[in-house]
Amino acid sequence: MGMIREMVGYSLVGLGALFYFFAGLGLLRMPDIYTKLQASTKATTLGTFSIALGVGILDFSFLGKAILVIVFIALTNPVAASLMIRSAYKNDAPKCKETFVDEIQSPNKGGDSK
Amino acid sequence: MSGSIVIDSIVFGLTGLGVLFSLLRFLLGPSSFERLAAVDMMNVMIVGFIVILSFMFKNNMYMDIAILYGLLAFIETIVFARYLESQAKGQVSEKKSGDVK
Repeated sequence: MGMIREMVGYSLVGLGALFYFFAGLGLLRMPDIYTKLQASTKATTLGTFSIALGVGILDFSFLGKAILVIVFIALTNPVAASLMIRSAYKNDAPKCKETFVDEIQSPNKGGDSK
Repeated sequence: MSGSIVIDSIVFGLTGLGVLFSLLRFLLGPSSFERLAAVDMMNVMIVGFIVILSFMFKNNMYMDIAILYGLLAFIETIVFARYLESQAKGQVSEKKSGDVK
């Protein structure tokens, strides 16, 4: 029982660290600000969930505050990313050249050539 | 953290690489939005790292520090994003509504 618990906990912590690595890689390599924020926000949110849950499973006395950390990150991180993307869009931040649909400018056009 | 050097190297190495990439993006980001995004993502990674440290030192108080750090990072991100949004051009309507008392 204890060994299975340790295996699950360390696997979750390692998975969270892997998601942090992917978030940093996306932030470094993506072409424009929108794709950078999309990659890094989702990956850091899931990585923090996984690390906090893994630590809570490894030591059950940490589980309550770990769930508190998860709820807090789930509430704040998407709001912060949405605000950053909105400020970048209002300042006309450059899009990468593969972007051809802007649904705020033209909501009825675009999509898959209907 | 765990007594096994392999698990320690994987966890700390991957988290450190993530923070290092964010720091690189902060240093060579072309605009201030990339720098703001890099700082926010680095803060979230540091919150997760403080959670790991609380397990490593077997101290329950580090969880409170992580929550407080996340709260301060959220406020910092919101303040800078609202400031950059207020610098945008073509916000005539907001200025007009601000002038009308």
